[in-house]
Amino acid sequence: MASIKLPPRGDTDGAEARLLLAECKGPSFPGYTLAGAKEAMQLMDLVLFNRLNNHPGQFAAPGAKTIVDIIKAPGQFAGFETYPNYSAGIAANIQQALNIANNPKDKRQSDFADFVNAALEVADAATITDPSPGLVAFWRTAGASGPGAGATKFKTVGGNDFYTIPKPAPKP
Amino acid sequence: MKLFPSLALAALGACAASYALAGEIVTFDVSKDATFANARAMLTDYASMHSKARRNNFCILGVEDDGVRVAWIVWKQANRIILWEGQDLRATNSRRDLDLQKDVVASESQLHGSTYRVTRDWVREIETDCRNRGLQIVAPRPTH
Repeated sequence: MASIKLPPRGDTDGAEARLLLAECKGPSFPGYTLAGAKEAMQLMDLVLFNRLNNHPGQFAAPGAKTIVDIIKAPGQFAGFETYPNYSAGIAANIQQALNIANNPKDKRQSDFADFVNAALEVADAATITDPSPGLVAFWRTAGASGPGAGATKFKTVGGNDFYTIPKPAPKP
Repeated sequence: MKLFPSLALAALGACAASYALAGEIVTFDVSKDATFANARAMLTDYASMHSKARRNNFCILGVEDDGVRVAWIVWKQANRIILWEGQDLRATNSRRDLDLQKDVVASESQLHGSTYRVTRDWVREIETDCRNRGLQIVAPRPTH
């Protein structure tokens, strides 16, 4: 099996893949399922693009031109404010996932390879159509408080609660 | 969002070990959930890995939301609240390790869409509920 690698940190896909791996529960967590992780990753990808395309200033990213600008916005995604540098705890978890995914002697290899590949696929693929009645614009850790801002909970998946905000009125 | 009301708790019929007001987030006793059963041994090791304090006080509060059970660990000496989702924290870091100096805002209006920051009210509720119903663990630093 070819070695699984993440895209360079400087690439957009590399930034997003790292964020998805950091924010989704992986195979080390009880209750993990690949389907749940992949759905959560697709919704996270949608959140990033919804933020980019809908007044990013309201998500602490005024003037954002790329999803890396969204990911680095102050106070938005834990440990990613100074990307391409990011927190040591997150880096350790991602490295652990890669190490297991690339170790044929580890019984968990297949599960971790699927998890990392899911992040790579979602980061590279087209964004899904928004399945919510509005715009999925937030996620919060399941069991934490809501995001405020008039958001309503849409779905809990992969250990995260996803929230929507109303779609902006069409321009006349 | 108002969480974890500390008074007037109503036991839920479906789960005797869980508590909440109708429509509110449910707390549960982590010592009775197998996923979190190794808390004492794990946090003793965790403290020795991450702290130089002679003594570490942890309080663990189980929270259930939409069928998902997690625990918040209040770590007094480190001034942190750490999410524990049942993984082995000695091997896999938490997805949410909240620094109460940096990651707390005054109100929801100041979250600005943050995935991880929390409000002062939320911290207060977690700390109060944990004192009242959480699992208290004191972990001395091992002497080598």
